[in-house]
Amino acid sequence: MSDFVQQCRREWERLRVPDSVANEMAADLAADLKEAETEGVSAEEVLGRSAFDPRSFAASWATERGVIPSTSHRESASRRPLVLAALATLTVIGLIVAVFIALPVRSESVAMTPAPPQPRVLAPPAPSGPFVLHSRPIAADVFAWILLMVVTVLAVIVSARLWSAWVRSRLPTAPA
Amino acid sequence: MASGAQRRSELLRGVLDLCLLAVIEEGPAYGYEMTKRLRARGLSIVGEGSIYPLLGRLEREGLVETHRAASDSGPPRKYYRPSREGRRTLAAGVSEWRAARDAVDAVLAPVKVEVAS
Repeated sequence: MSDFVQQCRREWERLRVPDSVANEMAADLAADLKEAETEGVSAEEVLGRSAFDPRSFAASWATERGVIPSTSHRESASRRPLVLAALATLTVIGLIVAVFIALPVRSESVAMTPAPPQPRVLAPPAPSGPFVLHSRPIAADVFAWILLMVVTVLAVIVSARLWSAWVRSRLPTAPA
Repeated sequence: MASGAQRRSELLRGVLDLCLLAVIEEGPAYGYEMTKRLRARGLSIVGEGSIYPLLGRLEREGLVETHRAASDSGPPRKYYRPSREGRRTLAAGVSEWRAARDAVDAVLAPVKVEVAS
């Protein structure tokens, strides 16, 4: 087997091309190059410019055959764990915040309003006040809690889908 | 402005799949045999990319059928021939090529070419 074919074989192994497919491509290539050599034809005449770049040639052949993802897909797949980790972190933070908000601690707002005017009796009018404290639960808290839960659930769904796609992309494709 | 080799390469890139389908339409062939058939018609792929990735794409798209058989010399080889879809693609591609070639010829025909001696 020529050095060119061996380099292709290594590249297919690195790209996790299934052995059966890699063996078939390597055997076909080796036989073609051998026949060309016997006829006095150079490898360049058989392989074109690819004769000088076995790794690109091997990757291109495997990609076009559909036994590995395309280069852009591989690059995005390699970034996917980072995106996944970021999403998981956000999900955990969201869950923690949601739990704290959902704890049975009532949030109350305090509004200060002047007391209604008292009927004058004999006492002189109070200079200012007294003030009465009114308290009411904040509806915004409920809204924030619901919003956080929705965001968290969405983050979980997106994480699960990304994770699933990433796992699928790492599995070797069935031989074509 | 593209050099002669570059322009030829770009022109070929768009029709090399049709050329491959055409040479295996004559009879099933393995990779190197196709290269020889192309060369016999004056189409050398030196300077172009290899035909193997292209064959891979044709196979993935179902435009060719393959089978393994003993060759005249050496080990068994993978033979390619156009599928029914491949023949349809070839026919459509040839029509498109001829239409494009005629249109370009009509534009370029009045140009007088002087060959420098």
